[in-house]
Formats: sequence, structure tokens, C-alpha cells
Amino acid sequence: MKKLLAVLMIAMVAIGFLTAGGATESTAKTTIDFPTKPVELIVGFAAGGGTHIAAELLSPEATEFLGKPLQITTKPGAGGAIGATYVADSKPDGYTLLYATMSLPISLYMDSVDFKKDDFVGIACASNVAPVLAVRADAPYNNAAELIAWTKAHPGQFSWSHPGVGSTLHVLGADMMFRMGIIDTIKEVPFSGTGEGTAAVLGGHVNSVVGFPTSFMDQVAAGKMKILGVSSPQRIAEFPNVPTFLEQGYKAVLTSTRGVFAPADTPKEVLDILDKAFEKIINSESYKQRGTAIGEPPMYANARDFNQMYQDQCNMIEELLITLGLI
Amino acid sequence: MGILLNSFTNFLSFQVISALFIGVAFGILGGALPGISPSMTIALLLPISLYLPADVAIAMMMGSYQGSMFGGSISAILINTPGTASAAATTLDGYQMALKGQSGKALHMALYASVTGGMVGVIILLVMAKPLSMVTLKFGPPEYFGLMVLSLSLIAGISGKSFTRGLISACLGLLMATVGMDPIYGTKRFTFGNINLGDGVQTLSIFIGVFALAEILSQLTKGKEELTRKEETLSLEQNTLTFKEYFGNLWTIIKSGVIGALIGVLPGIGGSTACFIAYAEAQRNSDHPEKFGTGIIEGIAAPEAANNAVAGGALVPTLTFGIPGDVVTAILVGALIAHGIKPGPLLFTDDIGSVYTIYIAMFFAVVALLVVGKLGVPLFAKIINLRKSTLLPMIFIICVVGTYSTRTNLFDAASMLFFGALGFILRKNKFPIPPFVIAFVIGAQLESNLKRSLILSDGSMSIFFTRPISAILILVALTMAVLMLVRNYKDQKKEEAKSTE
Repeated sequence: MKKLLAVLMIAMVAIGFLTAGGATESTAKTTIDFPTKPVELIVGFAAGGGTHIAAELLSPEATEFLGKPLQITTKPGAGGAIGATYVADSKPDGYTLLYATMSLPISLYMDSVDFKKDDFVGIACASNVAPVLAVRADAPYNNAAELIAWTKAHPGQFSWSHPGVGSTLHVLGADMMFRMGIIDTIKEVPFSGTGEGTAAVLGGHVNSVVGFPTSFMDQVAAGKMKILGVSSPQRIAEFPNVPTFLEQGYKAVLTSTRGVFAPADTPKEVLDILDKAFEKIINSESYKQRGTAIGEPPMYANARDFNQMYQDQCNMIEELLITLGLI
Repeated sequence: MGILLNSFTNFLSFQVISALFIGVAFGILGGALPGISPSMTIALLLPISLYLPADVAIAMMMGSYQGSMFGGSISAILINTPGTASAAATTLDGYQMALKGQSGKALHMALYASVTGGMVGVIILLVMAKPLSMVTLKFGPPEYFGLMVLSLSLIAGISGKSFTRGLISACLGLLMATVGMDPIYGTKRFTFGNINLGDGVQTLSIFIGVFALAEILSQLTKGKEELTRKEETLSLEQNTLTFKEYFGNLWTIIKSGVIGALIGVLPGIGGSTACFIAYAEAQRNSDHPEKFGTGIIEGIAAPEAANNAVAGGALVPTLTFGIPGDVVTAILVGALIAHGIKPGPLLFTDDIGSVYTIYIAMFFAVVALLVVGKLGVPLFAKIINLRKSTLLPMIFIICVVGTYSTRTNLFDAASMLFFGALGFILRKNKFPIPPFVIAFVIGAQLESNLKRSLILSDGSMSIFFTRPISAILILVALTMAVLMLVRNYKDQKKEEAKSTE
């Protein structure tokens, strides 16, 4: 009996190790024969969260197009910076990749991180999400111009919320407020998560929340909330009737692109293989369907274009953060 | 009614019921393993659930939600290691009972309290989802702050013999809660430039450190004999839960269930706070408050009822607004959306069938928990019969792996070691651990909501007293603190009188 129990305990420990996942041994040599084992895709956000689910969307087709499964590991914390640090420090053999959002360029400048812009090279853009500004349906303003007029008449009374300092939505929301010219006359009230912010808006504790479209689609359909504007170059499928800020005359066009990165020193041959594999994955019908269903609008860019996008974003974010006084 | 019956009959299929049991068993296992939190358990099931029909998937996830809430108590009771954050309060009396050889009784109490609490949660969800959803909206930053002040005042009750030492412990806990990024301004505090501390100290590292590792350390100081000693086995009678004991605690269980469900309704507070509040309330209301922490069943009944009831409460804002009540429901929302069910204001009008399916799944999850738990408890309870010299190293490994796996980050295991040492030092010097842990759990919400309120009021403290709910909460907190201080003072007088006699 006692032996049986000991075995049970060992089994428990073993299960613990197994489910802990993580640490894959890096033995493979980088030859053209890539991949010979599962490729690990690191997500710097909590398991089950939006970013993690977005990364999981990539895994079903991986075996078909990459030849080996894509193993998704979450290393959450510090706005994605812990996961990014892990990938930057990993062996550049193509077996450890990073799934990152706009928070990657943001953390480069807002946090004191140990990695640099050039530690990463883009492989593929997977999706592109536009942030929106949502208020309660009974709010006395219906668009950007009315909001600006209202805040002028009631200085210091308008409040906006975002899901945390240094988050993508914080920076993109601050950009909206800055482009509307009201950032200095309103209050910023960070919450932890869009859900809490939405509850605070519905309860009338704060006036507005900046979030991604899926968070508000049902609220809008039910007549509880309305959208004042979309930060995007074009209108979005979720809210085809809501004009963009650009249409309304304010140059808030930033969106959050998400995609796959590799450590910068990864061999060219490996990068090429990954580039081709992710092109097929992201352009597959099933990926597009899943992405659209879950509010993660697919957008593909190949390694060269995505890398250029990343470089441009970095420069633009740095400039923006300085303008906004966030760094 | 027709739709309810329809959902009900759909539910009674072999597939759904077996998914429910698999979910419960998986949940108990995940809950019992430190580091596999309830949310991670469900996240692990998420990819599988996407391939299943919606009702099967819902049954499986509800099962694992309820299962994991109970599962946490198993490791809390047997090895003083809270398997989930919500089970932290259960360690206080659960482990003491296990030390007395009453692990079977403790586990049964945990199971029945979980099941009853889970039922309370389901009933509250069924009957009061709509009115309760208004509570979610009524609570803005000042109200959250008031609630946190109230929770903090409960610490006075569980400080043990010395109020001063309790306060010192609590202050240390609050100090630990300030580590990491400032929730409002983003300033980094006490991170020493280490990015791993950016989000503060991980809750599980603290819990496992101060409870489990500190316990291992103090066992080690007891010498070789203690380590090789065989646990005495009590007669079956002393180790089984009697009907009288269960029904004697029924009121505590129901009250704790209601506390749990109400806290679950408020997004962002979470199970561990709910359990500590339920524990402190049970102690405050008890005829023998001094016995709490020494291994009594009330101390298990209260937190275990609360954490399963949180599930029902957390579903209220999830289903009515699409706003997740806790981390688990946040993942649940993702899973439901993937199945074409959109939690939110339209769900009750457009898709009431799905709402009923979720209710029914929750109900049967609680029933399944009773069955699986009843079968499993005798097996788990035997772990305690292992020799300490075998058991302790295993617990240590579980502690390290568990803290590592929450974020797959070795730093969290290292900080667990640090808090183990800290907990050991605190215990050796008779500083009570519960105030430290509760203050840490409450600290973040206390601070962020204080700051949010003050931003909204332009720095004026009056916001806490002009809003009725927060004013009442703060007044109750003050009254309770004063009452407990008075009681504490009287007790001390009595003791002094005794000792001079």
C-alpha cells in the first residue's frame, strides 16, 4: 500500500513536470533539415487571455505546413516583456519564436528591458486589430467633435479608462485623445482589463473605455453602449457604420498588429522555411475563419514586409511616446 | 419553461454526462496540483473543448471549474500547500486537522462544504442573476475601496493572541503588495531592476512559500524522530464526519456561500479574498473564536463553501454583461464565443437556451463533484500515512514545480524559497501568518481603487463618504475594528487577571 502511495506521489510530481511544459532541450543543429522537432511559440501573456488564444489560432495547421507541431507556451508578465526577454535570450535556431503584439515596441521604450529592437526579426504578420472608443449609450456626445465640444465645456470631467499602464490600448487610447486635442483636459483611470473598465462605464463611474471591437459588439447591439470612433485607416467590419477618427478629421490611425518574431541571429535558411510555412498557415481558409470568428481579423504580411512594419512601428511608437510625455 | 426542459433533456446524454465527470476529475487533479490554477486547468481543456459540441464543452468546463475549486483543498489540508489561491484559507485549519490525524474528516468537510457552497452559488445565479448584475454596476472604485477596507479590518479578528504582532504581519503583507508596477502611474517599485518583479510577487509563490515551505522547514527543526515517526491512525469514528457536524455547520456554510457568491459578482476581487472574508466572518460569529487555526471543521467549512460559490457569482456578470467575474470565467468567455455563444446583454433575450444549458451544467457539476469527491477522498487521505522523510522531499518538489509552472518562470520558484524563509522566521517569532497573506491579497485592490477614486474626485476624500455604499462599508469596517479591539483588550485583561491570581 505504502509503495503504491509513493508511486502515486511520484506520478503527481511527474504530471506537474509534464504540464509545466516550457524548457525544451536545444540539441538540434541548424541545418536545412528544419524543423526536426516541435517549434515553441512563446506568448508573453496569461494562458487563456486574448493574445494566447490568438496565438493558439496558428497551431492547428502547423503540422501540415511546418512539418512539426507548434507548441504554444505562455510566459506572462510585465506587459509581455518577460516572454520577449526569454526569446531574445534563447538559442537563435528557429525553435523558439515569439508571438507578440504592439506591446513589443512599446515595452522597448517604456520599460527598462534587457532586449533591443534589433534582437528580433519579424517572420509573419498574423492579424490586425483596431481599437475603438466606447461610451455609455446615453452619453451626451455621439462623435469625436461632440466629445471635444463637451470636454471644452466641462473641463476635467471626462474620464477614460484602459486596461493598464503600458498596455497597447493605453498607448493607442492616449494617441486618440492626443489627436483629438483633449488629452490635457480629461482624466485617465486605468483598470486591470477591458472587462473591469467596461463595467465601470456601464455603471457610470467613468465615461469611456478604449478597447478592441469584440469587447463592445454585444453592448452596442443591445443598446447599452455606443462607439465614438475607430482608430484605423479604414472602417472595420465589426462596426461598419462607425466612422473612423480619420474620417472625422483626427489623425488617430494606429492599430495593433500581431505576429510571429524570431531571435535576430536565426540563420537565413531557417527564417526562409518559417516565412513560407507561416504564409501558408495564415493564408489558409481555416485560420481566416477561426480568426474572424473570435475577433482577431487576419492580416498577412511576409517576413520582409512585416519586419519593415516592425521597424517603422518602433520608430513611430518612440516618437509618439515622447510626444505624449509617457517616456 | 419549455426551453428550460428542452435544455435539460438535451443535457441528459451519455456524452454530456461523461464530459461532466471527466471535467470534474480533471479539475480536482488540476486544483490539487499547486501551480495548475483553476484558470490554467480550463485553459488546458480549451483546445480539446473546441472540437466538442457546445453542450459537451460547457459541461466539461463547468465540471472542471467546480472540481478545481474543491481540488485546491486537498493539497491545502494534506500537505499545507494551497493547490489554488482560493484554498489558502483552508490551510489554516485543514492542515492542523491533518496533523491531528483527522485528514479524512477534514477532506469530507471540505467536500460537503464545497458541494453545498456550489449549490448556493447555483441557486443565487438561477434566481438572482439579473438583480445581482446591478450590484456589479453599482460598485465603482470607491465602493471597491470600501469593501477592501472592510476586508482589512477583519484581520484584527484573526491576528491570534497578539494584536500588535498581527498588525506587523499585516503591514508586511501590504508592503509586499506594493512590489511591482504602480497600478495607476506605472512607476516601478521595489523591483530592483528585475523584470520578473514587474507585475509584483506572484500570489502562489507567497502562499506556497509561507504555508508549505515554512512548514517543511519547521518540521525539519523537530529532529530525526519526528521525521521517521509514523502518523498515528485514529479510530474511524474520530476521522469521519458525522451528520451532526455537517448540519451543525450548515448555517456557516450557507452564509459563506452567500459571501462567496456576492464577491464573485464583483469582477477582479477573486476567490482567495472571498475565502478569507468567509473565514474571518465565521470566526467572528463563533462561540469559540480562539479555536480557529487549531484545526476545527468550521475553519474548513467557511472558505470551502465560499470558493465554490464564487463560481456561481462570477457567472453573473459574465453572462449578463459579458464581463468576466474572475480569471476562470474570462477563459470561459473565450471558449463560449468560439462555440458561437456570446455572453453579454443579448444572451438572455437571443439565446436563453444556452443560458439554461450553462445553469444546468453548473448544477450537475456540483452533483458530479459530490460523486467524484466521495470516491476520491479516502484515496487522497492516505497520503498522510507516508513517512515524513518520504513525504517532505516530495512536497518540496511539488512546491518548486508548482511555482515554476504558473508562469513557466524559474524566478517564481526562487521567490517561493524566499517567502518560505520569511514565513519560517515569522512563525518562529510568533508573528501570525494569516494577516500577512490576507493583507497581501487585498493590498493591490485596496491601493488601485483608492487611487482611482481619488483621480475621479480630484483628490478629495469626500468621495468615500458621499457615496452610500462605500460610506456604509467603511463605517461597518470601523465599527468592527473597534469592537474587536475592545474584545481583544478585555481578553488580555482577563488573562492578566488569571496570571496574577
